[in-house]
Formats: sequence, C-alpha cells, structure tokens
Amino acid sequence: MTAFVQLQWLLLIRSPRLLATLVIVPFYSVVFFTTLHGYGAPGLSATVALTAFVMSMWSQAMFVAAEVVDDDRWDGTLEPALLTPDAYVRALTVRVCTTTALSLPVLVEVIAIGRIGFGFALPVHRPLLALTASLLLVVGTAGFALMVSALMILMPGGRNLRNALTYPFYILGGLILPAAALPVPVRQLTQLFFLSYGTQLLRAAMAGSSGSHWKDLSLLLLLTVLQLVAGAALLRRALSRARHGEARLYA
Amino acid sequence: MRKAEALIRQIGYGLLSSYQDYRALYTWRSWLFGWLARLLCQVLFFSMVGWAIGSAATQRYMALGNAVVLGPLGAFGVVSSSVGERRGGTLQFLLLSRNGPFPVLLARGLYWVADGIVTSCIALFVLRWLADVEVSPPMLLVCFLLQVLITLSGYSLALALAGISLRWPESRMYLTAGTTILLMTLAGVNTPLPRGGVVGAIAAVMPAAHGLQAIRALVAHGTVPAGEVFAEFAVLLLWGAVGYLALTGSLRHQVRTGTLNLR
Repeated sequence: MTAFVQLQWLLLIRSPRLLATLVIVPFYSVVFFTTLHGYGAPGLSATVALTAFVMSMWSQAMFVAAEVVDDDRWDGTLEPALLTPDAYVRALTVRVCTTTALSLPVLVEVIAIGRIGFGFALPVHRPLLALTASLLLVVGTAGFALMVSALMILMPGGRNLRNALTYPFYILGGLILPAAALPVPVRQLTQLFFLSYGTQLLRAAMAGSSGSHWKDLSLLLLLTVLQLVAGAALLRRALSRARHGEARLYA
Repeated sequence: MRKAEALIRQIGYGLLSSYQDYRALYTWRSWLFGWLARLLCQVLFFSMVGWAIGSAATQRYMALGNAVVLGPLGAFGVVSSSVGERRGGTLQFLLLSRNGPFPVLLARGLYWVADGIVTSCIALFVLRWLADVEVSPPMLLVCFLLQVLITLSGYSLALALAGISLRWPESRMYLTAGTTILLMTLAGVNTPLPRGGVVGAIAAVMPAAHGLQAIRALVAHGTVPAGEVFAEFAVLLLWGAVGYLALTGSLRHQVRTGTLNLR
C-alpha cells in the first residue's frame, strides 16, 4: 500500500499541473468572502469557507484523481497493469485516495484567506471533529472519483460528464444550505449522500456546537464506506470489460 | 473585394467546423441533462448564498447576476480549445489561411459564444422558478440582444487570454480561473458594481459589468440605459483590440522562433 502512495506522490510532484486545482479553486473563496463583506454578513463566513474547501476537494477528485486510468493510458502503463487481475484496482483505489487527500491543507488555506484578507474570525472550536470529518470526506470523495473513472471507461462521453458533476452535487452536499433547509424531494436525496453529513459535521466543528455527533459520524462512516466499495466495484467491472474488449479504452 | 469575400468564406467555414466540434462534444441528452442542468444549478447555488445572507432581494440580485455571467464565462472555453488546436497539431494549418490567424481562430471558437448566449438566456427564462425573478418574453428578447453583446465582450477578453495561453499553454487554467474570479468579484455579479478608485477602474473595463447593469435596469424598470450599452460596446472593442494584438503577436513570435510545435 505504501508503494502505491509513493508512486502517486512521485507522479504528482513530477507534473505540477496536477496540483493546479488545489492552487486555483481555494481562491473561489475570494468570491464568497467578497460577497459576505459587501453585504455585511460575517455570520456566514464559516459556511462559505467550508464550501470553498469542499469545492476544492471535489474538483481535485473529479478533475485530477478520476483521471488516474486515463493518465496510465497516456504513460503506456495501463496494458501491463491490466494483466494483474486484482492488484491494479487496489493500486488505483489507494492512488485516488492519495490524490484526493492532498486537498486537506486547503481548509487551512481558505481559513487563512478569510482571516488575513477579510478579517473574518473563522475559529475551529473542535479540531478533532473537523479532522475526522475531513478524513472521511476524503475517502468518500475518492470513492466517488473511482466511480467517475469507471464511467469514463464505460461511456464514450464520460470526460464531459465530470463538468456536470460539480454544482448539482454542491447543492446535494448541503454546502450552502443544510439538508433541513432544502425542499422535501431534494432533502431526501441529500440524506443519502455522504457529503451532506460531512459538511454538517464540519460546520458543527467550526461553530463548536455542543452535544453528541456520534449519530452523524456513524452515518458518514457508513455512507463513506459504501461509496468507496461501490466505486471500487464499478471500476473493477469497467476494467474487466476492458480486458475482454467490451469497453473502448482508446475512445 | 476578393479579400472581403475570402474573409466571409473563412469565417463561414470556421463556424461550420466549430459547430461540428460542438456536436462532437455533446449529444442533446448530455447537453440538456448534463451541461445545462449543471449551469442552472450554478445559478441556483449562488442564489442560495443570497438567500442564506438573509434577504430575498439579495437572492434575486445574485441569481440575475449569475444567470447573465454564464454568457461570458461560457465564452472563456475558447482559451482551452485554442490551446487544444496547438496540442492537436491543427494550429499550423490554420495559420496558413490567407487572412491571417485572427479571423480563423475567432471563428473556430464561436460555438462557445453561441453556447454562452443560449445557456444564459435559458437561465434568465427559468429564473422565475429558480429565484422568483420575472423576465417576461418581450424583455427576454431585449435580454437576448444584450446577452449577445455581453458574451462577445467576454469572448474578446478570452481571445486575449488565448493569445497568452498559446504561448504558455500551462498558464491556461490559471488565467481562466483568475479572470473568472475577477469577473465574479468585480463585475457586479454578486455585489453592486464598484465605482471609483483603482477597483472601480478595473471593474469599468470588465466584460459584462455594464451590460449586466443594463439588464438589471431592464428587469427592474423596463428601460435600457443607453450609456451602459455603449459602455459595454466600448469594452468589447477594447478587448477585441487587445485580443487581436495578443493572438497575432503571440503566434508571430512563435512562428519566428520556431516554437509552435509542441510535439
């Protein structure tokens, strides 16, 4: 497993463009913070900081991590890797998780932009809860990226699909408005989506709201594991179809 | 006369090939349920920020701004597709065209303009359900014309960025994202347009800044302030000139130094 992490780390630092999303997307927080500054609404600063963080993590997963199979194809390592029936899926899972995990420092980056650039307080009252929720979010988001990389193999227009998987999921993930504030049919969907529990917990960690969060944490853990398993299973199926010549790897 | 004829023909073929590129990019299903749905969600998302701030007026203000800005933001796609021409090796052939590279590259990316105009007008139409902003059908017609101006204005800026990105392809993402952030922050999309000072001066030359004010006035009072329309037109001309200089200058430099081929 360490070898897979090492491999992905080397691949990433040798082509800095893969880290560009992490440099660019956090600056979208400037749009949010300027808006709050303009309307005099500092109360919402924690929500928009978390929004910018989750948007960065999601973008990193969709636009960089999900390209892992495609990158191997370009590098010419895909065919030999396909000869290993099981290790390749494990390697891809670890590599996608590693790439997504690189977005963790963005939370600090966004808080720094808010504090230094705009004078918002942005305290994190329960750092341990924030860290746990962030780590689980990384794994769940990586699971979703695995699903997307599988769809990129199975569907000819899969690459374009990734653009469509941004804002609808930011709404479903309860980034700006929590699930409770959304209309009923959307709320029900939101309650099945791991992202909404993660953002809820991050919000609670920043606000320092008292009380137990075990229920939300358990649900987040359960949905995250399900997401990862579903992602890995779909990717295994896509690669198996590619091995049998039923999916076009060169489309 | 023959030169003008060649120019028209060149733009015509550019349009045709750009239409084919667009068809290769989407099916009607992936456009409708993928791309358009995503853009409408983007407008909804920002109007939610307005709602969370706490006033219905803010929500409507941000929803309208974000619907209009879809036009110029969509036109920014030309930066990436122009770099794609260089990576794909088709740029060298385009440079052989008899009227120089500018008209052909301008025409090759016009599908981004069409997409921006169509998606922003659809967003304006559905705003009544998304954010309770009523844009009546006659108003929508005027909005369409203003949206053509705003999107072309954004496209001109995008051509300038394409000129830089063709020389330094890795700068593409940074330039597009940086300009998007500037546009969303300074062009009066989410907050009132800054007036005066350095920030006001930058805002005054941002595409969409004046056109958006015109659309806001139209939706609120039913009249279009001519001053804002002329100002947006001036911004279009300004960025058109910068785009021409950036694109032709960048390509000329690369041809001269033999650095055009990336492979």
